[in-house]
Amino acid sequence: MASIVLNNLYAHLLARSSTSSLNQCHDIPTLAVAYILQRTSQPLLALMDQWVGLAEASAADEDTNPDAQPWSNLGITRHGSTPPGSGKKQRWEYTFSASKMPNFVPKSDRHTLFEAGRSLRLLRDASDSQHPLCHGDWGVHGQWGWGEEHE
Amino acid sequence: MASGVGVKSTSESSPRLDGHLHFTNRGSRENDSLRSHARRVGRETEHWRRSTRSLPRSLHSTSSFPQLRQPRKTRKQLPSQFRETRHDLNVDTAFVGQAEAGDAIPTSDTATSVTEDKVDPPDPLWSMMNQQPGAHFATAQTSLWTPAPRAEFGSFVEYHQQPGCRLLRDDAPTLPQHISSHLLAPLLAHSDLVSTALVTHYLDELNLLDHLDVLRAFWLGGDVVFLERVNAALFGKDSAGAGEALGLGKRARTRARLGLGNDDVDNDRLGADEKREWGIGLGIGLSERAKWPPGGAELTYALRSAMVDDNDDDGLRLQNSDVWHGIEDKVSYAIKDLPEDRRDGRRAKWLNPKGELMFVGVLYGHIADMNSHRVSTACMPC
Repeated sequence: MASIVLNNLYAHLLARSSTSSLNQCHDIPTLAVAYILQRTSQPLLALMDQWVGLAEASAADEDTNPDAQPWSNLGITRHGSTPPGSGKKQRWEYTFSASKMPNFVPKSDRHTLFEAGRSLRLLRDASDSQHPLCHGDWGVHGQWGWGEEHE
Repeated sequence: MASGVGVKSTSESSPRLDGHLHFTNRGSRENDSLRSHARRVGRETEHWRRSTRSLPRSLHSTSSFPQLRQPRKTRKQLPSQFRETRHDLNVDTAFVGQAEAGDAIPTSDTATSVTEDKVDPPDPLWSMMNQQPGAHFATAQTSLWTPAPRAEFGSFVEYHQQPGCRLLRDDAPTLPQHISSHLLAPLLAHSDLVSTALVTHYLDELNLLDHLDVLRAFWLGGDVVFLERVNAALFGKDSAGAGEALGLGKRARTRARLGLGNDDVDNDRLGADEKREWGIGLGIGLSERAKWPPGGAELTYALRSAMVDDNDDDGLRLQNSDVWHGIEDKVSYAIKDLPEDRRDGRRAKWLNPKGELMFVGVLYGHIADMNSHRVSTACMPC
């Protein structure tokens, strides 16, 4: 549902910014759509930061509930590869559905982001979570960053 | 003006609006921030790698992640009643009448007798306790209230409707370009760092290439000397293989190797329907067995001797790598369990001395280090 809303907002903003003149880009409807897109995409961007390792994601990764899908909004599903009751640490296998990611993320970057998250979790297993990249927060986040300085 | 006209500071009641506090040349500034981020990651990684190489695994710690360190032992604070008692004993007359942190529990008398301290400023915690209920809200640095979304939206529109202010920047005139170059740039840059770090970790810390060299040497015939020794142990070659009966002449060994068991003492004792035909080309030690597949110490010794060679001058063994140290203990042989199968299935092939030596496998026992990294041991038949 979240991706549907974001897709619609992005489509509207893309249409307005592509077809309007410079003056029309400053009209209130365009700015309103940009503002709403910015606000509604913040949870998704925060989730994306957690997936690639820019923010702490221990709550999602340590959730051992086999039915929990903390990354579903990114189109990422996980399933456990360790048999339950074996006493071993649960390992997850991740599958990605690129079509479920919001449209404003370019298709060429979707798999890159997905593989980065998988690589991060593999690095976490390989280094026993000791590698510096296994720990967030790095103080760098994805932001829309509209506009320029007023001259 | 560094912060730009129309920019709201963070100290105001309204929260910082995304995009409003960024300066001109944001593109170059963003690049600088990404480069500094990459440098920081590189420094942290290099520091961690140095610490892992110099310290035991149990003592790993980095300066940037104090939560990984052992917590510093802190002395427990004395209970308040004991602190009050001690402080009362050591009270200085200059502090009389003031509500301090270490002073006695504030009473109505002391609470109303707060005076300006010319020597030391009053403790802010206890000063707050002496105020009227709700009075601390006026001095709070952070507001408990957030502005209404409408107010935030209004300031967003007001800012972007100013002359010269555009929604999209000059370096990204279209929305997809803006998303790629500004919104997703930190994510993609960090993704590259993660991928690079993973590859580097496997190649450097886990010595993946050395493991591949081991597999190539013992499974793919990369170690020619080892291959020759295995052949000699299993098939005898020119000299008697390990376990071969001593005293047999060359002709007798050749006949036995070819499966011509007329001189086989065991076969002489058996009836016509019980005479076994041993594999052709096998070493004498493996041919003179009462059962197939052969097992026991003879076979183990034969194969083990192929692995261990004190006079080995092969360059592979001289590699100064943790993987190659004690390789004789990591690479071993395993007798696989006979599968339950049909008469003409794989089990039947195993039971046929003239068939393949499928019951023996070479096992790479580097489980302790690599198991957590999802590298399964390779067990391949000879």
